[in-house]
Amino acid sequence: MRTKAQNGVVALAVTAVLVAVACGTQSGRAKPDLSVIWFSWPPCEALGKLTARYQDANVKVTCIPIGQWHDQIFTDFAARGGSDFPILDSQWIGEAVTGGHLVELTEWMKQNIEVSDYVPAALAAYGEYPPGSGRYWGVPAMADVQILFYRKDVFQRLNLQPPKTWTELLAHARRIKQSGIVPYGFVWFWCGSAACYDQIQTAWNQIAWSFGGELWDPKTYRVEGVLNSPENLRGLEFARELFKTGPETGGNWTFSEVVDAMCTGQAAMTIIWIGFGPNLTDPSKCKEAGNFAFAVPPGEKRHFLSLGGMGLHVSAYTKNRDAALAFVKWFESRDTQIEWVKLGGYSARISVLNSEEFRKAAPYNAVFAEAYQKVKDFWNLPEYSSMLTIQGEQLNLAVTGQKDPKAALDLIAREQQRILDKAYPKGPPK
Amino acid sequence: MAKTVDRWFADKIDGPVRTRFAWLNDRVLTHLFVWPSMGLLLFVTVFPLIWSLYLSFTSYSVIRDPDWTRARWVGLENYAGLLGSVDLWTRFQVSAAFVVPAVALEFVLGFGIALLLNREFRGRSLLSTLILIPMMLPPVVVGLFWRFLLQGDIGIVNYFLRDVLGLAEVPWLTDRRAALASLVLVDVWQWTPFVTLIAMAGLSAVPRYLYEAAEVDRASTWFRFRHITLPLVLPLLIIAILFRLMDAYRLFELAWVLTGGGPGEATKVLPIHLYKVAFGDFRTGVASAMGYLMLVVIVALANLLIRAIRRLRGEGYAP
Repeated sequence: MRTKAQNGVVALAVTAVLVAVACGTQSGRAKPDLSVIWFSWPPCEALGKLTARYQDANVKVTCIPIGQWHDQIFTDFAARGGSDFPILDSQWIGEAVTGGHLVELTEWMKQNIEVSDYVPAALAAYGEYPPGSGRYWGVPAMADVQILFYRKDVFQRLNLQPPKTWTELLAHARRIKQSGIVPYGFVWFWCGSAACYDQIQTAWNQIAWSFGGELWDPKTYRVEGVLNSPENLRGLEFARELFKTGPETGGNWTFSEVVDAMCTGQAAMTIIWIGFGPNLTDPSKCKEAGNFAFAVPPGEKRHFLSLGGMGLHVSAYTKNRDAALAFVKWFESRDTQIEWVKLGGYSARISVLNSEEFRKAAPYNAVFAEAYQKVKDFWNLPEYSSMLTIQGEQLNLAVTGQKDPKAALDLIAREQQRILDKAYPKGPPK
Repeated sequence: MAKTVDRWFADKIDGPVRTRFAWLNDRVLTHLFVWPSMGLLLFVTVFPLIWSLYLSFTSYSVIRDPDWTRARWVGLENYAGLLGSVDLWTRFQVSAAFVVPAVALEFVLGFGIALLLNREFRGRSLLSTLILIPMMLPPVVVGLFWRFLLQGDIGIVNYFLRDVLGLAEVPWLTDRRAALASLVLVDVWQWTPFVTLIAMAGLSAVPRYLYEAAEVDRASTWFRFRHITLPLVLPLLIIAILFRLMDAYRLFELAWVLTGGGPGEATKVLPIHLYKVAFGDFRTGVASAMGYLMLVVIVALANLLIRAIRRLRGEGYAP
């Protein structure tokens, strides 16, 4: 037999449990779940740490292998689902916009983003489509450019200065390899297979541009006669010579092999996306971390660097559009961007790039600010993927000495022209 | 004991329960179990087949067309385009250059190992189990660790060639011919045990008395192999070859992880090409047509081998 007091205690306990469950449910409702998808590299991990500080939603960051990055996001689009925030490479915006997979942010940005505080080129590259239209579909998530990491101890021993031209860089690399101080003068991500996405392409493009070449004519959509130009042929032959200063079997090297070679003292120079900086400068991850110095990659006749970085976009299939936009506003705020750069991210906000916090955040940030002035991008077309694949495969064969460079360039030009002619039979869209 | 249990159930279903479920006879139960399974099977296998067949006659792109009703009917255009494309035939050639040597080696090695294991010796069971381990590993894992082993400068295979044997190192994954050979090598490493397993099952089923009779007649070892072992095991071996052919023909994960289809397009087998068309370019209609062309080839191959099995079993076949 229970007493009245016992019954009262039981009733109170039941009430307390019900209230707790109700509150839990309410707070769960008040805090929506959002998700970001990006590829696996240090900034993706950093973004996970940053979003954990966001109070108004539970934001999950998924980092997938780079080879599946594009395909995963667009397969999600095809299924009319996926993450709330796909982080897209700049060249995919056209593909995503024409399919109706992104939320247009043009009007929203005017009210919620300090547009005037951004590097104009970054706003355009990471969010605008069609190019020059003034219509925005994303905001900068991560600015990026490749910078030169070199072994200052090796340079000192051989009395070398950071190279100002590609020709100088090749001479340094040859000299270092001959000296035997380290096995390889220069290593790079020469991988060009379908699984390597755009690695050799973004490496070689900046050589081609600096040697005076172009990938295509964006006004006429001509590739033949532009890509297989004498300037680009010289650029490709040059890349072949540069490849020889690294391991002969380095034709399938990706970012991770390059970082490993630098960190284990196998190589004296590489040019790599600044997002990989923490892997090279953290002594707990990299044996040679203390021996690296940094410089802007060289030019030749001209000085262009591949544009890296990506935009943060809102998926058209998000179930929490208001919460998603609130998160974008928070992420793009100056305070959050300062936190972002402290964690290893890169901002496109001018006030952040000029801030003391940014300059102190990483030893190579001053170099980044200079290098980012020289960026150049390439095709922003829905046909991007197939054009990229053919370019990577042929460049790799030429660089590794398995195909005549001219034959490789001719084939790329022919195939890319075929793709464009088929997609735009009436010429470039007006 | 059984009677007690039956009695217990009989007691339970006596009375109102028995009346309530009187309609649940064997026939109804059969339908209740079969149709949900059939429905699921139709939904996940037959429907996608019919749907992709329809899409193969359209210009549909799953990311560019807002919905499938906007897909334009193009008739046989996708098929004609593919059959007239040099690229597709090159991919068929690359696939054949991988499948034929890989399956041939797996057959020879697998059957050879099975013959060796088909005799009594100490540790036979342990050895048989160890040999089967590779085929139990996921292809992605196999691809990743072979990628490290075959890495040109730091891989352990080249270390042995260069530093232990004093030979020249081989660019296993970066030279066009070597990369294809590497793919064959790894596939053979992983799937030879499968042929061994099937062959061992066949060998264990060969009646002992046939060998004893041959021994009485002083038949040579070769004669016993040629006229007893091989004919009796061959139908099972052909089944093993059939499975391996189909599996090797649709190889994706291993090639994707080990070589990514490179260098250049040297190891870009058909499934990698299909993947890029379907999920890189998102040309869904073309990719569907390509899938059907692959299906036709594999069905033709399977048919040839099944006819061979029937012929061997003496069931006769009408050409």
